[in-house]
Amino acid sequence: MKLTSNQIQQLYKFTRQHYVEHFDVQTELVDHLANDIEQIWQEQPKLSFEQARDISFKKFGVFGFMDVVEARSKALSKKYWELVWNIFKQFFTIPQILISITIFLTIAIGFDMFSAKKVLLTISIGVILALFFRLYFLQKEKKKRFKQTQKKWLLEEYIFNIGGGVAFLNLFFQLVIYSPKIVTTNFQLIMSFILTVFILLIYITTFILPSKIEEILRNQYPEYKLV
Amino acid sequence: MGNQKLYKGSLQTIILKLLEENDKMYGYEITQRVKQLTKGELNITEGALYPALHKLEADGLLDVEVAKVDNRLRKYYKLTENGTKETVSRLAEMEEFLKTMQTIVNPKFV
Repeated sequence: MKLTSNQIQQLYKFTRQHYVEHFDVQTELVDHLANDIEQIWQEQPKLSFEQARDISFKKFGVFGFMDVVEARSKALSKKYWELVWNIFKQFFTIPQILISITIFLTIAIGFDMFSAKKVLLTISIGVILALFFRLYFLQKEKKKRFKQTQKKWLLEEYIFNIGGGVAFLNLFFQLVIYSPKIVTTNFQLIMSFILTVFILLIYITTFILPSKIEEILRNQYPEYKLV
Repeated sequence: MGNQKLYKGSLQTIILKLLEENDKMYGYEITQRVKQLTKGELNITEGALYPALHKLEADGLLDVEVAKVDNRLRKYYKLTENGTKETVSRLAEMEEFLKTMQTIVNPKFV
């Protein structure tokens, strides 16, 4: 006996009730449960859909779907930072390296012309404000997309949450609090390099990746165009 | 049913080996195939299978394909080029491991 479309939809609902929010993870679990229910029915045809479903769910153990969700999150977090790294590398090849050099030189010259505290404060406050506005916009965009499609994808969530990169905010807050007044030339150069790297990473995670979201989701999920 | 703990460390190798022989497979199919091959001796749990598949996919050893089967979507896994190479080396490691275990467990046999 095969499951009906209605029962498949009930399985999607069942996974949502068990804390699986994302469609990509739900889909794999729904197919697994469906196969197992059909197998159970072959051996015990008198069981109801709900009884067979519960027998199947029990096989996932005491943590239910949590192990699967956790493993999927880890795998996609790795994927997300791979995407970031691939774009980041391009900023050290021609022609994008010109952008990196410009940022680096602007900061280094800034250190030369103004006090270190002034430079660090200006950059930190600028980055914090940009991050706040951008995150606000991305959260709005995320809600809008979900309203339209009624489906959340795990990688999409990572992109809109800038891969948990809100930690960048803390880093720049620390810079505001602890920025030193006087620094050595070596410190200026190292700091210019580190800040360039962070500014590039923030630009990639908050602007470039969200702008490519459709392309990324199509590449990552073969099922994206099927639904 | 044997001691599942002993099989746990070999789960990824088992998956790779099955995919080497079958081109592409979906999660449930893997659990059933293993059960059938081992005559029920090895029962891969759902909570272990999918994390292993996702890890292999994240490591670039597996690729995925999705097809509509009956009235639902099914995710198939298959080996990438790297996955095929890795399978060969993991199987060699596994054989080496089995030999070593044999020398410890049953020295007269070797």
